Amino acid sequence: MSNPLTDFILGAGGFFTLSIIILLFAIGSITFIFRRTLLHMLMAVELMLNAVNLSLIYFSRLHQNHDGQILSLMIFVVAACEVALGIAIIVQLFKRTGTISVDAYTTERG
Amino acid sequence: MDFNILMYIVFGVVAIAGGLVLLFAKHPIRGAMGLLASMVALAGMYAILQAHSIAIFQLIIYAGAIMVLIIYFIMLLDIKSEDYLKPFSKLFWIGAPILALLAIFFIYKLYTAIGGKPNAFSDLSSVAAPEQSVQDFGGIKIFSKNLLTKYLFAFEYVSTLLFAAIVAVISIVQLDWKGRKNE
Repeated sequence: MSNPLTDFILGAGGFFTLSIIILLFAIGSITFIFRRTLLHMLMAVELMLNAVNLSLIYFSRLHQNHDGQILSLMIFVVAACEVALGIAIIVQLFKRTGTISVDAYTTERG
Repeated sequence: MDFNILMYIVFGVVAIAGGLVLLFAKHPIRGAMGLLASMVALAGMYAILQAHSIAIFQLIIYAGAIMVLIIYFIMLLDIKSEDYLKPFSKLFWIGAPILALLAIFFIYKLYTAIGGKPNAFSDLSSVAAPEQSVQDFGGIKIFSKNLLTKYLFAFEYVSTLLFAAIVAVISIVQLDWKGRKNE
């Protein structure tokens, strides 16, 4: 515990890191809810996944345990799948409607 | 102050700033650049937290592959600027402060939960017995050993998911190709 970096990470850095995680997740969810294009919604999901990844990495460092790192690697793969599928679907929607604004997709409103 | 601690704080601030650029920038390429800055800053935070292999994967997969895919997508579509003239929905100025207040409330609850003591997390870390010394933690050797022995099933399972995603993307693209052929 003589290393100042270890002292910081296990001490005051915990509050700092968890605040960063909460703020990143809040910014991501605000972007997802209130930006009105599909592209920004997709990028906001990526930002929220990154916030969750940071929490996994931080707690794996805190407990000296590798499970969080493996789980964050799984989240990488899930994010890659999600972006590939999401972009394919958005391209199809753009070809059909000519816009990616969410307000234009009103056919299922009833 | 130690250089690593200073860089950790700078990376955290840059990550938040990149997220704010994503939220407020009008043009999508600026939002993508903000997201990219956020991801690179998070890779630096991972490296300081001794997750070296995850930091490399963050740079290769997120900042490399996924962001290139998104930027290529922005370039491909050539979207009219009318989609971006009204970036926020009408309820933004009501809903966003509520969510921001909720985030501040969470941070306040976190602060009261650790009782204002900065060393509360080190008490938490002493619960788990460290398996190896701090220097060995997070290297690529022990990471890959864990990935291919203890978590082999998860590894194979997630590769199946990747394969299913490839098949799904091909079928979506082919659906469009068949539809165009029929027209």
